[in-house]
Amino acid sequence: MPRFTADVILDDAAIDRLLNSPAGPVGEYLGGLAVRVTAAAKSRAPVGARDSRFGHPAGYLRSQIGWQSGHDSRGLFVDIYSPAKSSAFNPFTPFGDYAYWNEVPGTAPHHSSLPAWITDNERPYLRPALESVIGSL
Amino acid sequence: MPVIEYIDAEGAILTYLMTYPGLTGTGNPLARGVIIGKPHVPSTGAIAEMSLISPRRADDTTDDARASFRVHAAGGEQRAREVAEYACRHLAMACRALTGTNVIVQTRRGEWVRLLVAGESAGPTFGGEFGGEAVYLFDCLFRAMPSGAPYGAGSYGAGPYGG
Repeated sequence: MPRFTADVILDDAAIDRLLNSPAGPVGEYLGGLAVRVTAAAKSRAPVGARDSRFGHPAGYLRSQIGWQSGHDSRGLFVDIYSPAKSSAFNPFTPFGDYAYWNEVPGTAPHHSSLPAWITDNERPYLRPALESVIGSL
Repeated sequence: MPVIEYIDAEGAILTYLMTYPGLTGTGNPLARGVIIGKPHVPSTGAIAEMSLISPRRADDTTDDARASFRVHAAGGEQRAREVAEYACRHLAMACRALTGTNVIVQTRRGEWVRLLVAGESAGPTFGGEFGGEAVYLFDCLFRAMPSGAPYGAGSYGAGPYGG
């Protein structure tokens, strides 16, 4: 009965390129996931009043959500976030962390005194989007 | 015992790309050129950010360095993507044009480097869009070796086509 043997030679450089190349297959896969999470976050983001006198136009928070890939000592990653700040003309909290306040309801300064049409709209949009896409894999 | 020479790969690749005909400068795909480090993304045109990533290998004849490029462009949503993609594609073609030829470039520090091959490329792939800015990615492995000055090069000879 013939017996066969095989040697497996690991090419460390090729594995390194596969795992750490930002434009490589792993980076491309992460980018594909980031596009899906970004789209899901945009669809979940609250939209403010259209006639707000002191705020940004309706849909501002949604429009600011984006993603970018990166590479650090631990490997490839993608950041999905919104840099949205409250308007410079907001008399109470100019340039406030508007994106974070919506993601974590109740964290805005003077939250208890905000009108209901603002607080009713607050809801997380980034984390649920991430969970939904990961859950679908 | 042979001394393994690490060459200024970043500087050599930078010189090669900045002097590649029709790639950088006003009116060309990479209008704002290639830089090392974080770019200030221009309101028009594209700029490429270059960094060396692993693996880096050197033996007693050649030095292999893998470069990663992030091509940034700003503008309207689709416009930024188009500009970045167009610039990244031309950057990729300029890199791959090395294969089958070899060029001698002089880095800003004055070292002469022979670039032999650019291969094992990945991309261009879409690398993100954020705040009106779009990014495309391209990675490529460059093989280089130290070189003497090409025949006829003056002390100011620079770029693969000069000298």
